[in-house]
Formats: sequence, structure tokens, C-alpha cells
Amino acid sequence: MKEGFEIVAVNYWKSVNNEIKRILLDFWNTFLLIHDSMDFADIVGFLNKMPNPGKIMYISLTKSNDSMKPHLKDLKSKIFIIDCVSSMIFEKKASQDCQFEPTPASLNDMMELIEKYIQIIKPDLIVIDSFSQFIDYSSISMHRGKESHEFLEQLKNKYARTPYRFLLLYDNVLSKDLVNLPFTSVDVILKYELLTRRKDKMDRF
Amino acid sequence: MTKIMIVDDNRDIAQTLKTIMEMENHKTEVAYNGEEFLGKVDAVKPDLVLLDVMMPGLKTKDILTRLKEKGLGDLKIMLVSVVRFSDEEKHILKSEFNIKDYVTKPFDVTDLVNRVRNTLR
Repeated sequence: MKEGFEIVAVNYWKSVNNEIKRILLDFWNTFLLIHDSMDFADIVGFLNKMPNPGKIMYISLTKSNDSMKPHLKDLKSKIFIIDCVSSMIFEKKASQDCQFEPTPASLNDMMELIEKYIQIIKPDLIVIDSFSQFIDYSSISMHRGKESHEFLEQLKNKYARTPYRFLLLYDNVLSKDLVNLPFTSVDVILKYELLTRRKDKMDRF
Repeated sequence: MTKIMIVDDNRDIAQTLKTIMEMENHKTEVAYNGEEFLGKVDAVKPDLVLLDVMMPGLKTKDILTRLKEKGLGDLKIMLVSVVRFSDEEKHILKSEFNIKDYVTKPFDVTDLVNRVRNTLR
């Protein structure tokens, strides 16, 4: 969240509280969450709203493990982080709850990463932060569109009859018009938007 | 005229940065990966490098190490990236690799321009 701003409300929570509970309780395998925050605390807030997420395998392409650590104490679920950014710059040692990997260059690499760690961690929920590193749904190219479609179909075919569930985060911080969303390739698409206002403006009220 | 090298594998972002820097009257040179950057940097002799962290090919760590080996460890570098690092990690980047500033994508143009001006002072 930008400095000088504070959260006034989370629109899904205020306006469609009952609906969101029902959606999250429904059976789904792949969930695309479109959000407008790069702040990990907001992601933790959403994960805490999920009923029984179980053990989370969090594949991070946008945040280092160190930058996420301070917020993990607020997370109600067990989490294992696969940090795919730190090794670009730092020498880091793996720990019981974090592993460091090179950044997957494509969705094929991402699929290999998922398959490798699913065997080791045996999670209930796999979070990819962020799917927008691979695809831009506001202006999709034929190649990228095909790659994304094939990846989502692969997830569906391989994991539809398994207990694994996938939460694909898609950050749309610039609030672009997402005209090419994969409506038929994922089970649920949800837009999560934080309503903010400047603190100094609020102080005047 | 100051020279700024832009290193980003995303051609749209590289082009945007190039346009912004040229509007600020800087001369620019673009490289789309670490190898290309290291191949050009001696000839270009930039005053500042805007370097993306997440690029295919050479890791950022290796790019920065090879710059040091070339005797260019004092080159001013700003990282421009979608990656959020902790304050401690940013401190390490500053002390070990002479990283002057860190701009997160998506960036605010005014903020970026001000940071570039401050870094070049």
C-alpha cells in the first residue's frame, strides 16, 4: 500500500461478505484472484479469510522471503515459501519453511517447479504470486495467451481430481482494463480491491 | 549531457524508461539482458544504469560482480524492479554493490524522475 494512504474498506468484505464466504467454501481447484495491492500483509489478510486453507505452498516471484517474514506471524495457516527472487542477487540458505529457486522463465518452468515441490511439501493450497509475471490480460499476445491457456488446462487435467488447490494471484495495481480473462480455464475469478484514501485528507474530517 | 543505460528484458518498459529519460534531456542506451549490457557498458560509459532485477540469462548478482571485475564498481546503479526486498536486503545491496536507489514497478513517473535527478547529483 502507498505511503500516506490507509485502508478504508475492502470492498468484497463490506459489500459481498456472505457471497465471498460461499464462493470460498465452494468446490474449486483453480482460483484467479485479481488484486490491486503489492503489500504482502493484504495477501495474508485474504488467506486468513479462506476457510481451511490447510498447508500453503507459496511460490513468490515478486517478494523476497525476508520481506514477507514480518507478516507471517499474522498468518493462521502453515506456510512453506519458495522464494524465486532472492537468488537473483543474494546467497541464501534454505530453511525448514523456505527454499530458494531461480526465477522460472516460462509457465513450463513454473509447472516443473510446482510438480517438484508438490511431491516434497504435499501442500493443500498452492499460491502463485504472481501470475501477472507471465501474462498481461489487458493486452494478450497470441503466444502468451496460448501459453497461459495450456498452463491452466494442464493444472486442470493433472490436479482436478486431487486435493490440491491453486490460488493464482494477479496484481493489477494500475487498474488496467482486463479484457482477456481466462473465464473458461479457471473455476473462480475474483477481484479484490482495497479502497484507500489519503490519511491527511481523512484528518480534516 | 548525461548518459543513462536502461537494462530491461521487457521491451515495453525499456522503451517507456527511454522516453522518460530522453524527455529529461538524458542520452540513453538500451540493453535487453545482462550480457548485452556488459558488452556495451565500456563503450557507452554511462553516468547511471537503470537495471531490472528479474531478467532471463545472467543473474543480477553476476552482472554486478562482473561490473566490479571490470573496474566499474563505482558506476551508479538504480534497480528498477517488481520485486519487493526487505530494508535489510536493500541495505546490503547499497553497501555491497553501490546500488544508489531502488524503484519498484509499477513506478510513478514523477517519483522516478526525482530519484534519477537525486542520484545524478
